[in-house]
Amino acid sequence: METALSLKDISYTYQTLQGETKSLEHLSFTVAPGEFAAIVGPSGCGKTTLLNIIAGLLQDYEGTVNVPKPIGYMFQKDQLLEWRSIYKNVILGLEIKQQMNQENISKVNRMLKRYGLDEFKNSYPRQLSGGMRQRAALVRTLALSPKLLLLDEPFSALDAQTRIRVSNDIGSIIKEERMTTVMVTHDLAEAISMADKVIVLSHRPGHVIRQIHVSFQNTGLTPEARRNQPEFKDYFQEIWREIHEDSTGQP
Amino acid sequence: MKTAPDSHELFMRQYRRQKYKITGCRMLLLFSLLFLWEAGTRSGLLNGFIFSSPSRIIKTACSMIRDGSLFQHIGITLFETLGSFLLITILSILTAMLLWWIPTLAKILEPFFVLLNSLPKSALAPILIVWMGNNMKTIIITAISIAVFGSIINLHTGFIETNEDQLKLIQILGGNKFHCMRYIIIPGSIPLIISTMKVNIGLSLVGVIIGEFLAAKAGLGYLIIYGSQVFKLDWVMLSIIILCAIAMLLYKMLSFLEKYSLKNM
Repeated sequence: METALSLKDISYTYQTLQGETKSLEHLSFTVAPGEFAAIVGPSGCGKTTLLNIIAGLLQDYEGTVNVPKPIGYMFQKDQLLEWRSIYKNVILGLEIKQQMNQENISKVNRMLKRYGLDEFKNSYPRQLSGGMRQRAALVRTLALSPKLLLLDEPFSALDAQTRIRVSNDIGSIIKEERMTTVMVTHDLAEAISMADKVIVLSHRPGHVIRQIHVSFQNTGLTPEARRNQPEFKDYFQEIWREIHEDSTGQP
Repeated sequence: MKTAPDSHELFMRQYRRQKYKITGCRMLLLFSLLFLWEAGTRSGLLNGFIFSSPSRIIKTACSMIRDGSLFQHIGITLFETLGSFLLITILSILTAMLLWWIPTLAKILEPFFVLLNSLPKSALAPILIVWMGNNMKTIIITAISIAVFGSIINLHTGFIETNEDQLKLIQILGGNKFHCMRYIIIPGSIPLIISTMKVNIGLSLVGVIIGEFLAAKAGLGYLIIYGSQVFKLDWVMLSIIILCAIAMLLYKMLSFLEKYSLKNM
């Protein structure tokens, strides 16, 4: 099978003055082109470390990583710069990479229009709602035409209601753009509603204990619609059991 | 039928009335102090020769305006203050940037900056006179030495407290350290830079006056020291009042700059 992202035998140990901590151990998985993978696991299982390795921010790991370039990354908070207008925020990457050509600018403008941000182009981030801010952050990420999108609990800073709406929003956009995506989350419902594949990590040192392909009878559902399907509950229980068994050590 | 006044209008009216009341009371306090001062010296309760009085100060000011010496003294003090303020601002921003760029250097130099910042700088002034002579250079260096170390420490602390994720964002968007500086550190620190400037403008004035006490042939600090030595307390009082006005003016100038820059963010 063709793969967009592959990790093989990844181990990572980080050093502190108190000693060393093994964060990841022999972790392997692959993600196919256009696939949406969600990584779940108990807190402190090295999810963020894993994303940093994929993003190339951590170099001193063991194992092999094959990552398509460029990558896009979305943070827990949107990290829009308060002193720049939405438009200026969205073109930040293009400005840094000096790719401010006609083609890219019209692509950005098209995305702003499609995702309802056109009339807020000259507004500042503080004038936008949480959902619109996350959409702006997504447009900023997509402006560089990434081959792989990494999401680090991208909705955890939002309140519960906004969160479901925004994850629906963002999930639909990602599907529409057919992005290969890896999302880290601790919210199982969010993982099942958005992903094609849920990867369950063990507690520290993290390795893959189970990969579950999520498929609904009804294909092409939005994340919000998935939450109302009968299969949703089953997937939830299955994944919950995996994490629970791993942390208590008994079925 | 009687229409009730708009409740917001009522609120605004109360707000304005409160504001006028406060301004009125401030004026009243100021003028009664001036009046008591004047009345005290006229009645002989206070000795006008050593306490001076508002009327004597005005008379002195008029005669000094006529011979042009007042503006010369003010001009020199203002020039020295603004000059040292500009140098402090540029020096401290550049140094803080360098320290952010090379964290090891910052760690090495930290105790030295803390030491230099807490040292009473007026203790340095006599050495500076010996080294650089009785001139304007000494005065400006004295003023810089008073504010620059605290300013560097402040700005550097602000720079390194920048949100880590914003720096990570720049890295992921393909930027390097220079881009972090250009897109995050500097624009994100504008409010900090302005509030540091607000502190520095006051300290520059303090430094210039200390410098003029020790090494000057003109300026308001010189006028104060000279006036007290020859018992022309009218000069001293006049200089102090002008210093109050200058301090206020400079601070207002920066408040205006702050408002302007925050509005355009």
